[in-house]
Amino acid sequence: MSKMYAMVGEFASPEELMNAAIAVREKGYRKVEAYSPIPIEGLADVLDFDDPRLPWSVFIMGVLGCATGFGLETWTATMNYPWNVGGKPYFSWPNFIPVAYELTILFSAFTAGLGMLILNGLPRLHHPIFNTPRFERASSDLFFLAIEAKDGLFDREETAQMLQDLGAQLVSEVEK
Amino acid sequence: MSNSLPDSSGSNHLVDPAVAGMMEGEHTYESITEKLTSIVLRQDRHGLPWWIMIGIGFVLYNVLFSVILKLLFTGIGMFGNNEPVGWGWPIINFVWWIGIGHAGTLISAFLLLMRQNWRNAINRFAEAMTIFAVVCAGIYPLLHTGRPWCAYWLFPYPNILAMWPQWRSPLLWDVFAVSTYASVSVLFWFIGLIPDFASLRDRSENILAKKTFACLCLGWRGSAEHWRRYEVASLILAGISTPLVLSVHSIISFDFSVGIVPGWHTTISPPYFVAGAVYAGFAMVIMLAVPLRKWYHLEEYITQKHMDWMAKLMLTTGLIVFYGYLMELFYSYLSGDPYEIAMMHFRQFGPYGWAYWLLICCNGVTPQLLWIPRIRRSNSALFIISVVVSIGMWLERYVIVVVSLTRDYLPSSWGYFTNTMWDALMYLGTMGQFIFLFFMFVRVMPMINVFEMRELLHKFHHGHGAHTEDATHAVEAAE
Amino acid sequence: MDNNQRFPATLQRLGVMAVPASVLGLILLIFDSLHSVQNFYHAWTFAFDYLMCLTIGCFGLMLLSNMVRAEWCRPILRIFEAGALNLAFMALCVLPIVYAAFTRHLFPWAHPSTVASDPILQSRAVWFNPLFFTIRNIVFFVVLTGIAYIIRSLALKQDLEKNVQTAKQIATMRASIAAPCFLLMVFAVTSAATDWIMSLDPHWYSTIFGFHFLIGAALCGMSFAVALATTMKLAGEGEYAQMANPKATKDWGNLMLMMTMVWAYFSISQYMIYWSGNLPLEVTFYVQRNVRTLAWFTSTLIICQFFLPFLLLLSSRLKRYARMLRNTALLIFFTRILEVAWEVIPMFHSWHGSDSGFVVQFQGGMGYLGALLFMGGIWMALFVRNIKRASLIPNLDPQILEVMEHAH
Repeated sequence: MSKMYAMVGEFASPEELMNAAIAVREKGYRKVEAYSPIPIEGLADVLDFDDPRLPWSVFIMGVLGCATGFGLETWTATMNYPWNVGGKPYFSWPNFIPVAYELTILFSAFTAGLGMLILNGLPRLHHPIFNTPRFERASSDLFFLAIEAKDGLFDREETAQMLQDLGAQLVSEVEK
Repeated sequence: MSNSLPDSSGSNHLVDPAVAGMMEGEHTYESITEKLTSIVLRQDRHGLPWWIMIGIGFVLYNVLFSVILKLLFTGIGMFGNNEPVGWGWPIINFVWWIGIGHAGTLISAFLLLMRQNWRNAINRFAEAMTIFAVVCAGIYPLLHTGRPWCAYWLFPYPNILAMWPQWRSPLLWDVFAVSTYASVSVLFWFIGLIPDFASLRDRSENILAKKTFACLCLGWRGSAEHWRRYEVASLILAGISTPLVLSVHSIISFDFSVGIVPGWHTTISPPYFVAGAVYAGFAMVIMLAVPLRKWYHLEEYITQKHMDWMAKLMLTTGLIVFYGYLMELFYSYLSGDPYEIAMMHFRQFGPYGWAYWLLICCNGVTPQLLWIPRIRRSNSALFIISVVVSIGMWLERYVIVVVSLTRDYLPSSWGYFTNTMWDALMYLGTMGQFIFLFFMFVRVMPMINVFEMRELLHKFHHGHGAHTEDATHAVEAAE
Repeated sequence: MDNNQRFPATLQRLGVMAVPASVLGLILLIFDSLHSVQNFYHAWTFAFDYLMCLTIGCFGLMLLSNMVRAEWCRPILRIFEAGALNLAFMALCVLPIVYAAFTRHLFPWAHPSTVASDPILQSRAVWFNPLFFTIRNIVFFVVLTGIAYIIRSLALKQDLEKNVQTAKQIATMRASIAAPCFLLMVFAVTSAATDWIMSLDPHWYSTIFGFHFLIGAALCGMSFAVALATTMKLAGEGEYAQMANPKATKDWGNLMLMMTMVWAYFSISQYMIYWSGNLPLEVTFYVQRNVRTLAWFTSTLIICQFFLPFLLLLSSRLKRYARMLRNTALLIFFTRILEVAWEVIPMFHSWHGSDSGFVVQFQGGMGYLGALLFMGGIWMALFVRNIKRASLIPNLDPQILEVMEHAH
């Protein structure tokens, strides 16, 4: 039992995967994950996946980037090394905008990109799902639905039968 | 209700107008993946054209290295730059190259925000074009500093002199803008490549290639959770990149417009520079797309509709640029400012008048041909117009930089500018660099976004946004 | 179903309320004009410029809707069309301003003794002279009103057309007419805004002025349409209950967000270039608007026209709920009045060289309010009348046509 990772059903189209995901959720399974070669609209909603952390961290880091840029400029130009250039005031805020703006963008863009990877747990060397037969086609034309062994309702026969009934063309037990 | 949208989720054979004409022929997920990844995985997909292009690129790239080597020993005196034209070809070429990059970011970011599905086929190589154009651009200011090994002085870092950069200078803004632009472009491009690297990992038979792509895709497995975060991140990145593109070329326009030199100091220049950049960029995308789709038989993916759209966007941005020319003329004469008027007169009828009128012909007049649908359908016509536009956009920067600097307020600082052979060789060299890098990219990475083409196929068959409608109804009900 | 056919009460109410508002406005305007005839011209110009902003916004967005044929346009297209048709009314309103070109009350370039002592104004006289000014205004209104009526009549024709093929042809025709018209409009509005607003100042000029006016107009038209559509949705009136769904409100919100950002981009670009250049001819524009009470006014404007709407519209939740979106749209719509006031009113005083003039003038600002109520009231009444003349939602748009055709 401990070596078992999940029961994985293989489907031929996004619609079948979607319907299977809906059905599985309705049956009460919770530890369910779907794999597809394309993003499928609404699939994550069906699986009840919701993570507002990414947009929020982007926003916060953006504000932080802006503050860093503007703060650095203000501190260096008015306090640390005040220096008269062309009679402009030390605190030349209109001219401080571009750098602050670029840093806002830099911080938030990298938070969005790297944050996505980190929250997704990437980079990752290996994952049990790769033990699934024919999973190399999950990046091309096959769609997989995995019900993890950790799920309370999980039962080898029953779960496999259910996936079969939902139209899976291949159901396989995947080990860790 | 007679006028409500027909329910698209019910009928599978309905082609959504939002994706109509964006892919031709019969496809399956597998055939798309196979065809597009084989360009990377199979040597025989690259024929003679690839070798010719890489050969040209390689030779010219070496020219660039030779020029740089000489430059490091001689100094920038070998260029035509003089007093008063301290900014000669290096700055012209810098602005030209970086402008070209902007179309790539705009295609991948702005069109994503606008949910324009036709971007899917062209965004990848347009993004690559962006990065290589920025590389070509970045070389110029770096070498133009004269001592490129001290370039880190441009960044704020605590140092023994307790000095900080001069925050009021637009040249410093450039440092931040261009370096941010370069790094965000690379990030955006790499994030876009991850699912395709996964496809390549799963398809490559060569063990070395497999390992490389496995590392590059960072262990991507395409779970629903992955995809959701991925899409959120892509949208956010697109939302950030669009204002970034605007800001980069606006800041480059500030290099000129913040100073009070007549002909530079004008408020239209930020949007007009941005439009000009995108204009030249679309010209470059067309110049790349026309041969690529022919050589690699990608007409089914980069369809005539794509070419039509790009041509229309080129026309639109070209019109904004033309509007900018007219406003400069109009308000200069209207202003009553003697320096402005003299400057405008000099620009048109002075020793560089040929450049001004040539640029009006190239940028203002020629693209008007794109109003004609027949011309938009002809690839060779599009290619020629794009070449003309690229020349025009180069001339525009030439006129801006050279003409204004040779006629300042004081007659004592008037002068004349001619370039040297080295200016021209270095320009050719960066072109070689661009060609070389671009065709190397075509060889080792999928130049068309594979997963987005699969997604497009999905939308094709099953009606775009069928699931969203359900979601929005649910939200509405909750409200 | 019967409820759907009825004319929305919101619009009905708007049309009814417009009448007493304009009467009140007229009283205020007359009262203020009794002090001096100059007050009348100033107030009238301000109200005209603002309503022109709204009308041009509707007009431009109408053309844009015809060009892009996107889904978001459909529920609000009739609002744009009705607003654009008011160009005919604006052509009447411009008459006092054209007349002012022949008197010395409004434009410095029309003031002989000012011109005589000012070489810049003398060199501008080629463009700014009463005759040419009049011709430009006539051409502007004839051409733009003509376009508005042509596009509108095509749209109505398409609505009634039973044959899908013919309707599609009309739709294509609308698109191909709209694109060059849009281009024409950009040039026409640039020249007109230079005439009506920029030339109120004797010297100041800015090459981005046309774009800046256009984006302001777009914001004005868009926020007006969105505020109306969402109000009708909230009241459950007509087809808006279904049409203004979260998908549409999201698009509208995003468009307003984009326009807000572009507005800020143009504004800050102009400010930065003039602030850094610090040339007397140019920077005076900001100096006048940055003293005493006006500095507060400027700050309010920056907050209400950029920071508030920007942060609000950034939230995807806000764009899903009609109520919050309506409030944001209203905020933008009313701040536009402030911005036009900020831009136009100090121009009247830059000529006389008194920097406190704005405050003084605003204390006796009844005239400004009066002119706005008077002209705006009539505008609204006509707008409601225009909108009544056709079905509230255009029947067949090309998008729908295409879908239907493929389905058959």
